[in-house]
Amino acid sequence: MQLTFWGARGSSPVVMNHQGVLAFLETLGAKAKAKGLASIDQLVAAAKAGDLGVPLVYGGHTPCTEVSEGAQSMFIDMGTGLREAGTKYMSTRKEWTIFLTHMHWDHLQGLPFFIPIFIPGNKITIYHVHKNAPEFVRIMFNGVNFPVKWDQLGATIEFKELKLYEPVQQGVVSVTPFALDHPGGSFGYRFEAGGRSAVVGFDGEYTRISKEELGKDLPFYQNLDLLVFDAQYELEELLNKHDWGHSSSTIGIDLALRETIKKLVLIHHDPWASDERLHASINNARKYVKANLKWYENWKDQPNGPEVVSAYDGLTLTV
Amino acid sequence: MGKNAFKVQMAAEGEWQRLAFSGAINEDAKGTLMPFADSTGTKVILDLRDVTLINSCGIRDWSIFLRALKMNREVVFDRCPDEIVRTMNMVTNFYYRLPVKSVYRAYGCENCGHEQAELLKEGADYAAGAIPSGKPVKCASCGEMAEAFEPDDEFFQFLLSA
Repeated sequence: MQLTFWGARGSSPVVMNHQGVLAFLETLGAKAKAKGLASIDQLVAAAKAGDLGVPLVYGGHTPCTEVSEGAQSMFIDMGTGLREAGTKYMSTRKEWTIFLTHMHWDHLQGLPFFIPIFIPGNKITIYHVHKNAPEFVRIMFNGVNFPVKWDQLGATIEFKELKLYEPVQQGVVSVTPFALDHPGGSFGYRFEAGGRSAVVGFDGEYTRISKEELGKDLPFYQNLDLLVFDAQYELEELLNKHDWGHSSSTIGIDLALRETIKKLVLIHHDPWASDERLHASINNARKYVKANLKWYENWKDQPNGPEVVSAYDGLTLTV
Repeated sequence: MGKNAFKVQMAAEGEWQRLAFSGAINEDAKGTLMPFADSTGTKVILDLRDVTLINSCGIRDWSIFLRALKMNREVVFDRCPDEIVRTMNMVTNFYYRLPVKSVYRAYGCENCGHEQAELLKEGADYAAGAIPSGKPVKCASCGEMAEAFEPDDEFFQFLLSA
């Protein structure tokens, strides 16, 4: 199973403007200088080899994650990252499958610019748990918010409502929705295929985190290879943003440590977070794993604990 | 959870009430912790000496608890182990800049390897607003001078935001 992150930001897209590029070049130049690089060619080679850090930047698309297994491919959410995915695959695909976590704008706003919806003959299936999802997706195409109306779209677009906790089969992949903690309701998905498992767990504040509080949602975090976790805020920020619907990396690490989740992917980065802050954040998260691993006997056979990575636009991981 | 099971004991000390916490402040502590936000008097001492561990979930719940507790109450921290002091230094809203009456600081002896925790008191050993120079501590095992594990400016960081 593979996961590709087409959009790793939350809330709002982020762009790098002229001043941002200059600041980035300064930082990169300082790194290159420290490594004794003497030419542009050397700098480019070092950057390609990952010697100047990976990622160089995290990107700015809002959420869209692709889960694929062999020829089977599914997208979770329709943030601006979906536009990129559509452009890449539009010449080779006719059928598209999308699972929606919830109806907030940053998770829908890529659809009007997803070129496959304009192409006759294309078939797009949108799975959702929210009962009113079809209405709130169609309303974007009312001719006012976007010039093309729903009935003018070329593709056939079908909505399929899912029941919470009931799996749906997509080829060899089983997909099951479960509940997250987010204003208005949000739903994560667990993907299972060939004995491997991944959970896409955004948007969620994870206010319910003890085994008792999670209740029916607890098994979705158990025997799990990879968890994509909403880590929008630093812990200090989270304490001031109770009930905003997003969580923090170290909350995810607490969960991963307790439930022996092998890999944790931090996502839904705060649009106000600079690349430098995101670099610092992942370093701190890894330090937190090291500092707290000693409390968890379930990791004694895997002394490094869970692997923690920070998602960026374009990252692909294999489970 | 054994010795890590979270417990709270409440005792009167004159006009103050001492809440003595023990065990792990983690995601399982919430149910035990929250009722105390409503059931204490107007002057409260939070005694954290016997807290064995704290994780991020526990910090989040503690912060919500303390935010409610400190409304219309005088609240002070007391007997904070170094793990709690580290948390204060990282997360301001773990203690909301409330007074910290005493802390335990960990020391190690280079001569014999003995480790010990010294209780440092506000007024005698430190004061809010300044980093103190660490007081000399003798090893309880061999009598040689012991060294603090963390530098003064890191350990006492919480005093600067108090």
